[in-house]
Amino acid sequence: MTGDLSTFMPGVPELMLLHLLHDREMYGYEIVQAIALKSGQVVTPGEGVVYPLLHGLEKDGALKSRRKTVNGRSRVYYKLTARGEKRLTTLTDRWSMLNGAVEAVLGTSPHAV
Amino acid sequence: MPFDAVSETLLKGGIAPRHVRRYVRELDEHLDDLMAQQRASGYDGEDAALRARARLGDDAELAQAMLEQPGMRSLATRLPWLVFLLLPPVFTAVIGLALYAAACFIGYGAAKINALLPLPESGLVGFSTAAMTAVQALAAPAMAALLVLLAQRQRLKPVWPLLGTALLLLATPLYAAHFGPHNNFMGYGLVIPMRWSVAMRYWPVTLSHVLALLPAAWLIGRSRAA
Repeated sequence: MTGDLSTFMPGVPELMLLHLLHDREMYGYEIVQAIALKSGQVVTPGEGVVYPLLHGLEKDGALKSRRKTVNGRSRVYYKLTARGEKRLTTLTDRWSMLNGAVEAVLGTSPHAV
Repeated sequence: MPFDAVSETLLKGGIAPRHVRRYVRELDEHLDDLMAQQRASGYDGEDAALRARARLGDDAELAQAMLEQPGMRSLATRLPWLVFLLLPPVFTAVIGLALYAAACFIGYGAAKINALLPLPESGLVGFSTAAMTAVQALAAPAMAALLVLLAQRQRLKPVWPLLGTALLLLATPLYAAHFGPHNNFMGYGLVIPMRWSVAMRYWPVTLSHVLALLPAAWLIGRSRAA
């Protein structure tokens, strides 16, 4: 990820993947393009590194994959499992808490004193 | 192949071959998509290929991302002593004993079966004897070949399959037995020599040792050549 986001904030790439796959099943290339597009090109992954993360999440039971042929191209599609949904909720809560805390420290939060 | 270096790094790093194959296949497919995107943007030939490859990530980055994932390492890498030293003699014994049991069942049943079926008793006894001989001669070599293959696929040090083969060679005579004349009520039974030195004189055991050494010899030759 640009600016080495994964080491700056462990768990953020995972949160983004789970969030994207919450809506629909996607394949690796599609996921990377969606992250780049939705983040306004701020987060542009070194594209191949998304797969180890996907495989790791699948191994943990957060994702399920299946090979599917669409328009003559065979690809592995990933989708969220029930365990993945729980993980997404946990990570989203943590992110909101962390985000609020950082904004409060930086003084950018509307609640900052 | 574009990801041979990544693949080799991962295998040497202990990642299970099935995870490596899958990763490389998905990288290949992703690269195809990137190439198509570059061509659609007006780049062609080598330009498109170079730009696509750069966006995918360099070999070191791709390999590192996988090596950092927990749970992707193979059992043989994590616990080589279990896979190469403990399991082979146990598996060989279990499989051997199961086949012995089947052979004896057929042999013991011969007297009763041939009263019902037109099968000669000598034929069934002969089948049991042949089956046990085959197990005796081939189980250890098959396991030794499997160990060498496993070590090769996972780029492990040759010492593990060689030690595993040595243990198999020591253990195989302990399972030595043949089906033959016996003082039991059927007249036939499992004859177990009990002593290692006696078992070593059975020709199937000798053959088994010679065959089991072949994969090890091949591995040593290959290691020297490398």
